[in-house]
Amino acid sequence: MSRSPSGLEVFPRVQTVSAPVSRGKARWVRELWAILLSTAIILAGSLLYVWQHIQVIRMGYRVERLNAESSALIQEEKQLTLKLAQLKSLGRIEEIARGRLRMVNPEPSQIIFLSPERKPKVQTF
Amino acid sequence: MRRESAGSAIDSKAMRVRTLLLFFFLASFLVLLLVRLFDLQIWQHKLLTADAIRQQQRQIPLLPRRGSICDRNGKELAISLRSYSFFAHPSLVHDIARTSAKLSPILDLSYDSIHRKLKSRKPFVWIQRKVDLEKAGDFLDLKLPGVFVVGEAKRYYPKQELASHVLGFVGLDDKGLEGLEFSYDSYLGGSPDPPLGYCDALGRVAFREAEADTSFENCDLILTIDEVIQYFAERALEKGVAKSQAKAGTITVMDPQTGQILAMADRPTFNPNHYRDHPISFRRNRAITDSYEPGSTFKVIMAAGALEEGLLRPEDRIYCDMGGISLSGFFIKDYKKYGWLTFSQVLENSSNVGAIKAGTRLGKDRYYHYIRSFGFGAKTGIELPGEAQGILREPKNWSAISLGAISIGQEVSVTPVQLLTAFCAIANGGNLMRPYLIKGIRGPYGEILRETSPRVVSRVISPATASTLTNILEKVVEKGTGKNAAIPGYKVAGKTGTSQKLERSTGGYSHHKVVASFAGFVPAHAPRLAVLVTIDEPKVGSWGGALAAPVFAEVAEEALHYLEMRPSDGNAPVTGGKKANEIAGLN
Repeated sequence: MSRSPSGLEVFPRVQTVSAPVSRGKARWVRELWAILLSTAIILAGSLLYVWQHIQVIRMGYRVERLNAESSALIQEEKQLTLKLAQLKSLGRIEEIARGRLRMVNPEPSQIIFLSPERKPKVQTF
Repeated sequence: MRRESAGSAIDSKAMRVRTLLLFFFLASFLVLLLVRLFDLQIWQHKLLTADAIRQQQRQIPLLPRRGSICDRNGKELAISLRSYSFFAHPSLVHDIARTSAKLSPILDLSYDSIHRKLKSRKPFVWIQRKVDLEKAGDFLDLKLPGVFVVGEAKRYYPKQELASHVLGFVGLDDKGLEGLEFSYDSYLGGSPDPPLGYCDALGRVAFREAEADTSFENCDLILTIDEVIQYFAERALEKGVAKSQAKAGTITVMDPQTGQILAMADRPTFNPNHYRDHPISFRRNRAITDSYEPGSTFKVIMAAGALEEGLLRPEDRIYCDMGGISLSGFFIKDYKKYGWLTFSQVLENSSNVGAIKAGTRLGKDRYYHYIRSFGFGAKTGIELPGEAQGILREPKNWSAISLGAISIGQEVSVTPVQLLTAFCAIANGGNLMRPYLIKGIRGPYGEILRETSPRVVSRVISPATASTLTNILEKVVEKGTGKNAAIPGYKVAGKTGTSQKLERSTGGYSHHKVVASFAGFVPAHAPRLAVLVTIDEPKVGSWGGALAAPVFAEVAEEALHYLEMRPSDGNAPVTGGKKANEIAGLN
């Protein structure tokens, strides 16, 4: 360190030309990275946003498809329940029993009441 | 050098001109864009918004939501399904003849009726409403211009006429019009407004609005009715009414311990799937809407009062005036000439003279008190619409003969449900129960929202009086007028009734028109069933013991077997001297 004629202390001059160039380049590279990174983050965020929307829409279609499927199945189940209730109608069963199968009402003496504690001697399969 | 500067000045001027032109071009373009933007956003805003909504939104058809009605064991008695309704905008129909011809076989409608509708000048006509799914499928293949199909709910009653008077029916708009469908319409609910769906460019729904919360609207009703007992009751009543060629008939079966209605049927009846095909009078639930003079079945109420007050004992003797008694100029007869009868025999033989004398001993104020206590003159509170409260005048309005007349079930009118509820009070030891039909309400997700508990309205008579009266009513069936109600192996208690109807033209009692009835319960001392049968205006026969009692016996016997109630005398022996147990190989 030396002093100037005015008495101020000055640093000795460094005799290199490449130092400011390389500093500037490094800063430019850093800025470039920063720009690239920011762009990438913004892009990723945007893509995430868009992807999320697409997923929601896709899910919406799927939910609707499943809703339609569920409705069809419920409707079918109800139709089968109705059909079953119609087929199990006692009037219809009695008609078949009396007409087609020639069944008759049992006489009072033919009705056997089973007690839970007494088991019939009947082989079951 | 000068030449170069002159050339440069020209270039610079040309550049400025080009720049200016470009600026004007871009500015004009921008102005045009702004104008167009203004046009779209401001001037055509409403129109385009409406167009956008029309394209983006559409209503999503929902499944019918009206709750089902089930019997006590969960068997469906009413259920809603999606059906399809066909409508047309006649102005859009290209070829009326061709369209009519194509639709006729699909809809099972005549060509003429469709043609007539399509020729209408109205902007909108229904062609046929609520048809089945298969028909709609056939129609969609045709692609007829101007004719459209829309989904609607349709109510089905899979058991046809069974319990139709209890269930009621719904109208085209899915609203209950009669019966429980009407009184519980707010619980059963209809089809809610369909939610909006948001569509893409291809018309596919991507989202839908949240649906309205209908968890308290689309509930299932669980009834106290038992489908099997209901079937027995309907079948026996049908036979009874047909055999007596009666104008009408009712039967009600109740659990006397709880007040639950197990069956309720009327004749004539109707099919709720096609309710419009039947006269309105057929749809009336006579068991609750029609009151009638109960006749001799009402003697039981007088007897209950007399026994409870200690005025009479079953063995007390009453002289029956050898078949007739005069009340302020009116001569009331017995169907047989009786002399001395015990109070029990008065009921066994249904002596009018004996009942009048017993009623006179009870007195009008005390008798009125008991009549009211048994629930007469007031609605029972059953959940059906249109319940009548009957006619019961206050004692201050009674005439000189009223006490005698009411003692034999005249000058008072009751509904079948009221009378059966009173009999249930005797059957269960003296508690008047509130009759009810709704066992529970089940939410749309299967959760039980409400469960009805039996409710004692009041204690009417003591258990001792109820037991004494039950013994008397047992004798009515064993050796009195109710022999036809006897069921082998079971003790039955009951009372017959044959009441003359009022003749509107003369204002007096008719000699031909009667209501024959029987009310009873079984097994007598631990009753599971109480049944009331009324046969209105029979043409063949007239006595309650001959017409209504057999119907009671048939229903009660089958229901007892169904409920696996053992006969009180054990298993009946089978032919050949062997016991049924031996035949079955039981130890």
